[in-house]
Amino acid sequence: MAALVDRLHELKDFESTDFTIFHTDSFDYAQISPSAMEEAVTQLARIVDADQFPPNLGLIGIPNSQGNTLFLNCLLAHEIGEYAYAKRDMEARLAADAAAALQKHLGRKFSAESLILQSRMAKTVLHYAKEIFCDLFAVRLIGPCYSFAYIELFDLPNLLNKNGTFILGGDARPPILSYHAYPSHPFRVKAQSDLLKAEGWWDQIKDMDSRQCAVLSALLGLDLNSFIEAEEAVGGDRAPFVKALVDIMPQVRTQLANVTAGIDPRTHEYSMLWRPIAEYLRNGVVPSTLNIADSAGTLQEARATPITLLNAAYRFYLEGVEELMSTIKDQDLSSAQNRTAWMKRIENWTTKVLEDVALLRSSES
Amino acid sequence: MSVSTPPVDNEKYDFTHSVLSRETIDDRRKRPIADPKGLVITPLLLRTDPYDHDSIDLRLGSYFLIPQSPPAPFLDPTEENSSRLSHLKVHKPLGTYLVIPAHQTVLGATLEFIKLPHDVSGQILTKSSVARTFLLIETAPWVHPLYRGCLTLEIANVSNTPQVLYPGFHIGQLILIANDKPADETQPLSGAYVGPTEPESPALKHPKNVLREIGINRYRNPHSPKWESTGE
Repeated sequence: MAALVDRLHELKDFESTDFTIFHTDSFDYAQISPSAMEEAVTQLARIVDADQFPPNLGLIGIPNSQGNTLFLNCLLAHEIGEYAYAKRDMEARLAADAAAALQKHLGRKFSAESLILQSRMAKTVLHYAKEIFCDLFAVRLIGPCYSFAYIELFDLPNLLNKNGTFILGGDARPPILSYHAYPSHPFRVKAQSDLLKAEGWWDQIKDMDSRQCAVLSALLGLDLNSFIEAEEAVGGDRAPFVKALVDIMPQVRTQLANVTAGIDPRTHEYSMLWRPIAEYLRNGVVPSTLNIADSAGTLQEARATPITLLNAAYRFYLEGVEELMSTIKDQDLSSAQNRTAWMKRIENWTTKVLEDVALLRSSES
Repeated sequence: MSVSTPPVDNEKYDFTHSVLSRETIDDRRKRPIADPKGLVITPLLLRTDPYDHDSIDLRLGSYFLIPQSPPAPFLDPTEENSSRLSHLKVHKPLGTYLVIPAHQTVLGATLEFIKLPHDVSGQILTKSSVARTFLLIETAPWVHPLYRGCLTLEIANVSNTPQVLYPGFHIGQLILIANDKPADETQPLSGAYVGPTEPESPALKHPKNVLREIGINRYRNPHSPKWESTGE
């Protein structure tokens, strides 16, 4: 979390932001509402004449199921995006575009609706846009490890059949499932893969031997306009929320670029260091400091930033576990128990290296 | 009757055992990770010099396993989860502390992750300033060539007063000793303790398996009044 917040501090207007994390073994996502807590604190402060809620403090709830898994917690970058979305008042910036997009697709039917209904319909599009904004914010912040975690959490490798072929490929159109507040997972990952390509990340990861990467690749080949809603697919009557969302995607990306202006995606550093990091992990060693040869063949000590470490280690977690296990006595590659143990070990090494890097930095400052 | 000691044949034995000096440690640390002679000690926080002429100081890490009474009345090698359930895991971030009551024990680990070369063994000793408070940090101090991981510390407060432990403090010193014959780095590593980053519960061996290896065909299970077969 500290590494993610440090990364956020690189953004203008977020240099002094901090977060408090809620994590108990009793609650899950649906039961945690940080924004409601902020509102309650504000109201209580009025009643008892106390300090206002700190202006630069964000609240994040981690579901109990997610607490002990480093890589899945890359999803926290989305929650940081929610904070940025609210702080920069993105909803107000996108509201007119959402209404205009609905007007375009519904024409007079939209104009004829009451203002309340028009507002409700625009809200749905804005809910969709917020989720996309936060996903893309997370990708801008931490790179493809966010997408890997997203694909893992929502079991999206199931979009591929056993031999790795995309089961929604060809003429089939990936449906938007009937969530009212969320676009479908394939749509969201498609938007992420487009950004990864635009950022230069795709060239760094496209050769990965993992189903995560295969999902990104398959969705990269689809057009956003090929996504439809489930109701639409079966001939039902539903407002064209997805079409409106597709229409305002350029505005979402423009706002994202404004909020994250100037941030270095760190693709160059990743391209230089992911192989040495993988070699350390393959040797069962925490890569806090790397001895690597420069172009003249001289050995230099190097340190990766947390973003590069997270992405390189997640890559190794996805494609290197068998190679690691082959160096250990009595390991059965087909044993889920054995594989899980070593995947957990890679996560522990990554946690350790993130702690080490922070400590090395603070000891030298 | 007198027995004479045969003369040592110095030609036959290669006495290359020696403690690695600071210069040699530094040289070993600057090798590529794939070099079997390479040594890793990380993170090496250099604000205060961790080196002595013939040793390197190691710090206390921030994870601990505190012994607790397991569901069974004893640590039971016949129960798969007994070892895991006999400890409570505690994280004490840098800046906080852990109190060890008098005559109590706790498992800790070094802050530093190490990887030994194939031709070097190690020994970790309690720092003298720590030892004088009657804290012992290690009862299995030997580290084999090619070991990698944070070193588990079996910390015992053998004094009559509770003691405070701060993660990040220097607690032990690692002495590295060159061997006369290197270990074979091409052989697979033993999986039980490869790469720990925090203290881990012991991997208890089932008495049935150990006794069978030495030809014993029956054993007493603590949960059973009868003898049980080792399967021999």
